[in-house]
Amino acid sequence: MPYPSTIAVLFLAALGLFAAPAAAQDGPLRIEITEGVIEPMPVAIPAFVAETGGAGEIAQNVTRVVASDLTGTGLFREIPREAHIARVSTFDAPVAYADWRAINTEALVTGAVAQGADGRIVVKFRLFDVVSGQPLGDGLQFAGPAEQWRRMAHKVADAVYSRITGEDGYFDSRVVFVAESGPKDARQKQLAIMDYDGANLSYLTDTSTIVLAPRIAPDGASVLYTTYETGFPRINLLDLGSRMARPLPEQPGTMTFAPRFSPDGARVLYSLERGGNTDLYELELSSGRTVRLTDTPSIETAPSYSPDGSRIVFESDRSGTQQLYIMPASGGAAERISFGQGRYGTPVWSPRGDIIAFTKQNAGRFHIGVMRTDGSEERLLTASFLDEGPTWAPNGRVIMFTRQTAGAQGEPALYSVDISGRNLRRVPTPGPASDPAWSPLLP
Amino acid sequence: MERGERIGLAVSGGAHAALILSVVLGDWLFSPPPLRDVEIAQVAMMSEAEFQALTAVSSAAPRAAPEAPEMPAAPELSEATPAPAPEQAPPEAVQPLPPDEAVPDDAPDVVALAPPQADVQDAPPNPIVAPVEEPSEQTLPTISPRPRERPADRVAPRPADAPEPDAAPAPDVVAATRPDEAETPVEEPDPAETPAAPEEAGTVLETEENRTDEPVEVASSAPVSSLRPRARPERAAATDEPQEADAVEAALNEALADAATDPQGTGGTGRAAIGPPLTAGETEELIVAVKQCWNLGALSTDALRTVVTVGVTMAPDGTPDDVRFLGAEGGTQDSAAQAFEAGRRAVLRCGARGFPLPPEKYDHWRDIEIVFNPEDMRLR
Repeated sequence: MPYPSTIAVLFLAALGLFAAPAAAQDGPLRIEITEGVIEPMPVAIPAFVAETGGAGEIAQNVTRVVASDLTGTGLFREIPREAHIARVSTFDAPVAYADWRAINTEALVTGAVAQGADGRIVVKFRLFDVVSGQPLGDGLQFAGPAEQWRRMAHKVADAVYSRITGEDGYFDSRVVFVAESGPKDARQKQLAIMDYDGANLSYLTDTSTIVLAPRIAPDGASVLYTTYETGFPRINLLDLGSRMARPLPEQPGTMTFAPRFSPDGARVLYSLERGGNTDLYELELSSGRTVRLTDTPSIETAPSYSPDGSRIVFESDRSGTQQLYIMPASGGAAERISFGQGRYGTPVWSPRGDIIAFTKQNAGRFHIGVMRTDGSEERLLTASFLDEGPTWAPNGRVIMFTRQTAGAQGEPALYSVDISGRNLRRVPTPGPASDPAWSPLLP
Repeated sequence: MERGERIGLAVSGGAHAALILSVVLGDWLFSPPPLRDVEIAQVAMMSEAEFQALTAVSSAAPRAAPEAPEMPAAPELSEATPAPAPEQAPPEAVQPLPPDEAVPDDAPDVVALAPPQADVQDAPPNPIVAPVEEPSEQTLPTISPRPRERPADRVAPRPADAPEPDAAPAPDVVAATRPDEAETPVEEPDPAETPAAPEEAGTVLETEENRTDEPVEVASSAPVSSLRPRARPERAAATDEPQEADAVEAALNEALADAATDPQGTGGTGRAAIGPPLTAGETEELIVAVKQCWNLGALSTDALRTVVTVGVTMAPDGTPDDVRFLGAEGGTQDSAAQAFEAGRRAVLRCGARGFPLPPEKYDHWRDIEIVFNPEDMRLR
């Protein structure tokens, strides 16, 4: 028979088990959410209001481009106009948040376009957080010639994108690429430039010579590219304003290719082949001074600067296969960063500086992948018969590259993909296209 | 460490020690009652004829008399012992129930009865008959795609204020390039030129936007004063070396007295949380309710590396009254803002109709801290 005192102690202890939490509970309830959903944000974009008589068509076009930009990211889903309950008849009308919530809108973009007597237009917009029932930042407006309406629409989309995601936009940018035509055994190539979404296409060179690997300057004013106009590859510098091109200084008996601007645009990295050996060189554009950065019996090519200009990533076969290496921008010891199965090439440093995009070939397949600058966390974003030549969007969130389909009828085309691997989309071009180079955001 | 926490710690430590002691000494302290002998009964099979004879002299309970096939004669056991207590009734008590009242026979004594006839078929023994919905004579209201405007009362008695004016027109093309650069001074719109909302705007529906901020008087089910028993008067003689039981009792008394008088109640209401806290299931229900609205699709990669803590003050009906930023770890200031916006949207969206929280425990969930940690969701 247990002792009474023991029972009493146990009873009081049991009482304490219940009393102690209540007495000791202090502070609010605390919970942790570690799992959510990844879905496009529903956004409503009612037609921009035409505030003047002649601005109706422009207003419609601007609305369409803004919606296309945002939904094209894969991060937003436009709520169809037919589902809208509230109507935006004037730009300054108060927002009926309840009506927008009723159709599950999370963000609302309202806008207006006005055209003056001189033909200049003003495009303005506001962004609202429907869930919280408040504006999201201040309204903005842009003014300029009527023919610049697309750029204003892109800027509206950039602002909306930036306020919601917290990242810079990339819509007001351009892409230089190689436009291909003709039969495969007599392929013709010429440089072309377009808006990132394929609009406003124009050609920079003719088809008289083969051109490769264009690169846009950081200020967007000029383009480096490799040309075979002399029968051997050499680097030209083309001014986008005058459309005039001039060759970079070269040395007799050498071939130069794979150029890349430095982040400040003052220098150019490139590969030079001499006597069967290829190494990296750096050219100072203003003085023409050339510095040799590597001196190895292996092939070094496809260099790319880090955003701060302090380091270079490049491709080399010094280990026996094509791999990626990083070294100081002034040259020196190179550190290998790629160690996976297969071969690695065409590395490009992200504008954010934290990851490097590359082309990978393994087991008969090509991939576009990304890895950290120390080679860790390698992720393959795409896989196909032939994917190569990545280029970064200005905000470092999207990659554009060349994809060629298999077979005799296979043709190259431009594709873009989010760094999450989602939202793989084809970039519209009038014909086969390759070697894209994404410009910075336009000023 | 506060006094209340020390007392709680002492009580908790004593309870744990007592528990350990009980486990160690349990065999001596608590001797289990002796097991009852299990009564085992042997069951004898009976033939159909015997069964018919028995039922013929039974009570007037209706025999549904399924036409069972004739069972083969089972070998008789040499000794028939009584059935276990529930089955002590003589064999003649076994008779089939009407098909619609038949219950599964889970008794150990098995009399191979034929399954009920086709009326029951494979339906469960007690088929659940759904209530028949009778059409209502009232005509259903047609749901208009647009909310009907309410007459008379103007929720917005004055014209709606013009929204914050935009930046001034730029003289040149594309002056504004980035959101952070577009902080141009905004000129106030001329009130005379600013179009005021028409009078008809007053008939705008009462929306959350137009709702006044006056606190709504809600009848709270929470008691207005603590229900805890008043603290016992302290013992006059506090010996220097109290015995173990007295020490625990004194500590408990002190803890209860402090809890009753402690002004630091949960949620700053001036009273302590009463009643048991939320159970694990109730907490999990809240987590599930919030996370299904936590959309990370539009978050930046930096924001996906930011852990943000959000404070929520809840109304008694389970809807969020106030959502505020409490802190963030990792990422930048901008990414923290984006992460907070995503968390706030999750709380407001899924809490619009009230979270599934027990009203009687309102004191425990009046204030909630939610940590949004996208560690498992970020890109790697």
